[in-house]
Amino acid sequence: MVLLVTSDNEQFQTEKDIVERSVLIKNMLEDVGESDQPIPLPNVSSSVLKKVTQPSTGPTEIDVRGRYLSTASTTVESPSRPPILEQSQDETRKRTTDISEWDQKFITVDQEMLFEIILAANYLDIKSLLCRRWLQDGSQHDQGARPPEEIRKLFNIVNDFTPEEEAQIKKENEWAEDR
Amino acid sequence: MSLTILQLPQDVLLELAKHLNVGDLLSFLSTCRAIRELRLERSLWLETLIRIREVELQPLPLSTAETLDTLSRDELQKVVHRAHGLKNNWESEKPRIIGMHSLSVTSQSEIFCIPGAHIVVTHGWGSMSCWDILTSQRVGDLEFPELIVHAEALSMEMNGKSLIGACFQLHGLIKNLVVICVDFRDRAHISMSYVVSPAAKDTLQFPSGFFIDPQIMGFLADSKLVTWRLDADAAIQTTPYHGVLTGAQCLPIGRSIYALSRGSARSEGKLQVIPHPATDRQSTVISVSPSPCEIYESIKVPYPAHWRTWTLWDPYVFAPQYGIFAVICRSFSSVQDEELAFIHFRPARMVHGELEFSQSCVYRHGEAISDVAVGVSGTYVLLRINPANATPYLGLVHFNATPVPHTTFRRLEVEDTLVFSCVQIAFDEQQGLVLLVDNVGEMTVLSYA
Repeated sequence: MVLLVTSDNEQFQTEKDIVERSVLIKNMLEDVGESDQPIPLPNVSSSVLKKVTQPSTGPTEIDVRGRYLSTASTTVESPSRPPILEQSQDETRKRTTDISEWDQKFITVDQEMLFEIILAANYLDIKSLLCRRWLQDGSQHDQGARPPEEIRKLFNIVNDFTPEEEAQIKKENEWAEDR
Repeated sequence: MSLTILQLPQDVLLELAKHLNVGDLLSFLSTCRAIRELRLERSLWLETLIRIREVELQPLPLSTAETLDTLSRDELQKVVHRAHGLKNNWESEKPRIIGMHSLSVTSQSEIFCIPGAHIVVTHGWGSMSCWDILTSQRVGDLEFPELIVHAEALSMEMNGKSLIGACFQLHGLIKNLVVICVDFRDRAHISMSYVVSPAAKDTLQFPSGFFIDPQIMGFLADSKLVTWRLDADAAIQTTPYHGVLTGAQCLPIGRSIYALSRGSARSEGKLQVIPHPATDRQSTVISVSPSPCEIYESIKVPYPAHWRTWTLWDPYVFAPQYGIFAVICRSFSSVQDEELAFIHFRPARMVHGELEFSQSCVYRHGEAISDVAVGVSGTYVLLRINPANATPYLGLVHFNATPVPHTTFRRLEVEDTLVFSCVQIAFDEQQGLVLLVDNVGEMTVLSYA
């Protein structure tokens, strides 16, 4: 067991193999050796740490509208698996076939928590917690393209392009637009 | 204070962007200036392209002379746009022709595309020519009275060279094997060279199933497997082979040669797995895959007595890089002018060096088909549909593995006279090119990208 201390000073007793999904913590543990000293995580709050250290044997995913997906299912995969782009095709296929099963395991979090988790995962260097489908809302529109306006609305992004820039972007994307 | 997406560090945003499908990515990059900055990252485009190819299983609009490693960020971005635009166009209700031009090719009997390379090969008995579609120039010629080119024996090498299998054949007997190399690394100087094997010692009759890989070419001939090591000094080898396959197509994958026969109108085809002579020179045993007949299990074609004519195309076989192993096409017409055609897609993937098949998917068309051209992935099939009582037209069938395996059919709106007068079609799926050649050798190139 490893003792973690969050930014809001809460202490967590966590299984070693779970915290070692974080490359940051793994390196820290290797540096200090066997010790009972608590490990401070000044950039991670307790609510986020709870999500990040949820026991899970499979890849953990965050998706859309802040839904948080954990697969404590049958697929046992290495916790330090590379991001999806370096995955073998086999894994990817397995992933797509498993989607319906995964969908049932969404845990809903709000958008702010989504970003907190993403930041924490980045800080802790947890590769298995990459959010692959953060923009997709489940299974339906996975192939299609959301218009930029919809994405802006979803994330409160202000359109700061000049009309000239907009025209330029439109031209660039001409190939890609649905015809 | 609430945390928003723009407060995420740039490297985190980049990581998120890399996980979007192409359509969402392009929209995401068009939301605001800060996010748009991400497009300056070469890795974003590179990984998006790898994703298109490996995850979405779509071949990229590139020739083998262009590798992802050597392309600049700008070029990678253009390829993403092109690949995405082409896919959207094919999948739209009415695919649009983006460009069209024509060139005069000599009137030869067959054409095929070197995939992704904007190069088309025309060939007939005794001759073969290569044409650069971008410049409309002929870039090479070969003429030998006994030359026969085998379009199915085409091997793409990863550095801008293609090997094409051919032979010298007289009165139905193979005399020599020939490998033709088309080198298009330098677009300004596309070159063709060839190597001829020593004369065959055996009598090699009824050749079928030509195949080629960078080490070896070969074919099946009347109970022999014939191979040659692509070297002018290496003798042609024959290995006894016990399965007689009609209209077989062979595909070397790893340590095996997969031979899929077309079968007859009444019967199903068979798949046989033959040890690759280059890796197993001693073996004369023909091993049959665990379930040789299963390849056709879902394509049992009823053969009613009143069918008048039928066409069985030799199967198209693929190393299942894009999820398809075989495409099998059959077309029937009856005396009552009933027509029915089948396009069978046989999905498979490689698991530990072995093919693992999944359920076939069949597209049925209620009109007769006169020509077929299959793209490099095996998921797109271009058809020239030739109904008895209507004008011929072009159609495109697409196999899609997700969410459940299914096929879609799109009619391609092309001028009637072009389709009516064409005698040969060819298809470059990667670049989105449809080629039609009429009987005086006028070739029309339609571009969908």
